[in-house]
Amino acid sequence: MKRVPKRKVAIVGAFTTPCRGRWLSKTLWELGQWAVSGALQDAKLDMSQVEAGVIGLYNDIFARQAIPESAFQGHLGLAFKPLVRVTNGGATGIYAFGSAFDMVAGGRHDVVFCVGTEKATDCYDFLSETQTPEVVQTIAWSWDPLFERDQGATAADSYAEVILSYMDHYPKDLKMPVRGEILRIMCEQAKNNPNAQRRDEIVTPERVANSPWIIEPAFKKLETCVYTEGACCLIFAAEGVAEEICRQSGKPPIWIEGVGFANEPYWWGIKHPHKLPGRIESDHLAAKTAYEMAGIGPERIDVVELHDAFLPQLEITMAEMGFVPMGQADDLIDKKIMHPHGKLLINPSGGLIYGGHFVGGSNMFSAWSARRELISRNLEYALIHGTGASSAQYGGAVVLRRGVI
Amino acid sequence: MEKVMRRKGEYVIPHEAIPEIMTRNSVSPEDKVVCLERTEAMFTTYWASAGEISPFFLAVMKEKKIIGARCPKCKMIICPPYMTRCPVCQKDDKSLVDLELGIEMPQVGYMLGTPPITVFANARFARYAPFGRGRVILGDSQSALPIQVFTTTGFLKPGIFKRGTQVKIVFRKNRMGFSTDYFAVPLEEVPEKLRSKKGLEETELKWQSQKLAAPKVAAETQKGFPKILEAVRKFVGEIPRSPRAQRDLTNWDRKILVKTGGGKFGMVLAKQKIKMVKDTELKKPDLTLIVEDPANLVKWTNGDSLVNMIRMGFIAISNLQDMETIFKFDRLHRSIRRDAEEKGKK
Repeated sequence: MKRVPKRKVAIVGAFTTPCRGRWLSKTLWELGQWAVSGALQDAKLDMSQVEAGVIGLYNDIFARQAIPESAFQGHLGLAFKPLVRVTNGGATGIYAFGSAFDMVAGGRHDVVFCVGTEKATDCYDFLSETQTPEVVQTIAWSWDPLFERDQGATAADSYAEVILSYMDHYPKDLKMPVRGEILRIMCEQAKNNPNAQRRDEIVTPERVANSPWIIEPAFKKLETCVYTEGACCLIFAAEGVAEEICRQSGKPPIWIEGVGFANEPYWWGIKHPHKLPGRIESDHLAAKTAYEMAGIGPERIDVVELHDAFLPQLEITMAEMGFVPMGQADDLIDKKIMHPHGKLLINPSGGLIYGGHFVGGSNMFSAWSARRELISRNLEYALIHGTGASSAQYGGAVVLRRGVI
Repeated sequence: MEKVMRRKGEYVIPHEAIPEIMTRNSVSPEDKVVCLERTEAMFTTYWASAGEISPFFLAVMKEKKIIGARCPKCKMIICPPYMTRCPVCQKDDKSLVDLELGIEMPQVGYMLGTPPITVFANARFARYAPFGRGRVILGDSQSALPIQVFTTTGFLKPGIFKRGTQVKIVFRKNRMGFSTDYFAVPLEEVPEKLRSKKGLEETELKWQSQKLAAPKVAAETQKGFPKILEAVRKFVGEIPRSPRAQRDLTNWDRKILVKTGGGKFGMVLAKQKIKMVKDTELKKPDLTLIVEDPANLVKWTNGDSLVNMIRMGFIAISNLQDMETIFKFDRLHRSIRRDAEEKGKK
């Protein structure tokens, strides 16, 4: 059933900070305020016009504070106005996006900002004298404490199980040379993103194949997303207000044409109501809902900014969202679908693997990049995707369309 | 109240993981700003109740049984019994149908999917890597029981467990109410007479450990050994010129003996660099690596992964609990390359 919002909503401003492995010189609050400041500047908008906000903050342990959103209220210029925190695992960003959209589409507010920020790498493991094991440990607190956590379930397990079970069903798909080529392209694309974390890196399919396993035989080190510190802010405005703001800023409105979300159950099994092996049904259902609301199909999409937690999952998600058949995700390269071999731009930002992954705002960063591509390349439609939670259960998708001033 | 069981000397937060109260001034590498850093922790300790799921763990602990739950209406069976009501079926008053609890499950099942083998683990589990963890379907259960997987044959390699592999549930000798009180081994590794036994304990199986045999020395390999040593020496000599590589080795000291089919040598990792020494200079090595074909060391200096080689059986390691050192060695090539590439651009 096609759902139609009460009124249209557009992105009228956006800003993202540079993505870094660690912002030693910035706190979480500074990053958030920096992003809001940049987005206001981009939209040429008075702060007084912003009526409310949504903030995506993934995890209190990374923030080193319970209820960390409280400290943002004043920093973000929203004293005495509503600010809602959203936290939905890795999909925090896309769900924050959805909440901000609802606030405007439902008619409660005309102008709302949606900010996402993260600091992850203050975490430090004093046993190995490195950050990563403690960052990974922090994410691993999300596993079931009675049945899973003591068994050593890791952050990477969440997608490893999904990928391995997909490979069980489709052993001829997700070939390493194809994965390497997609990574090479995304790494190359990251060089055009001034805020990408891994702009200077050179990745070849051979380097991918030779990199160590993280979870064998699911994915290797060069196929995994990075941990990033950074922030992104998007400004949403209702039809009628959006056009006026865009006339002032000189940038076209980016209309949010479709929004969809779906979450799978936590426990795995052989039939519903359990999560099924070999699938990311949440991605499928979220994209389907977003397409229906927008009144288009995947064939109309020019640019995809997809939450690539791990490269093989990117391929599975592209299949779930209808760009290639399930079991033939390698068609992205084999059948020359992905730019530059084909027409479809996938993760021009470099994605979460090369662009950056600050969990609370990664999907907003994706939206920032999609807007940039729609405007600079004069494209029509973009699809934003977010995923998360312990078994990739959470899915969100958004269809964007370039408007005119 | 029953007697408290404890694992003497083991803590929910290992002492060695807790830093002292410290501060330091650090300079941000990009913008050269001096920043204050301090050690902190955010922790809560619990006597965490297993609540309505307690019967599952008590059955494991006391009776070596795995129990599930069944919906009397739709007949759905779930194991583990992670909930007490059917989320699909409703009573006449529209409340959810109560599940029948305490359904005893068979102790032979099959893997729902290929389980992941973790090489790079969380801080709490790094010392146990590589290890496997998957999901098993027991009897008519529609849900899968999360479970650790082990092989009795030594090193856990890919291919031992796959989707559909038949497995036997094995119980730990000492059970305290954790999900590690039970685990799965391939059924084919269990002697036939024990396959149908309920409550099989780990001590009833024969466990092989990884053998660390001395490498076979061959004259041809010995001939090429000096060149290989030189390649390794040249590679570790790059570390002082790479800030990233030095960061990889921060606060990490190890004496490593390397035995190959061409000869032996030692590596002393200290003060963020690696010094090559004669094997006789290493009195008590912390770690021994057996590398049958020393050409694998050259591959490592060219970016191949030692972890992969250990996984594939090309290299043996004396202490699997020290994989962290191997992770650090595997980071070096990329760090040196990235610093060199950046330097080249400038």
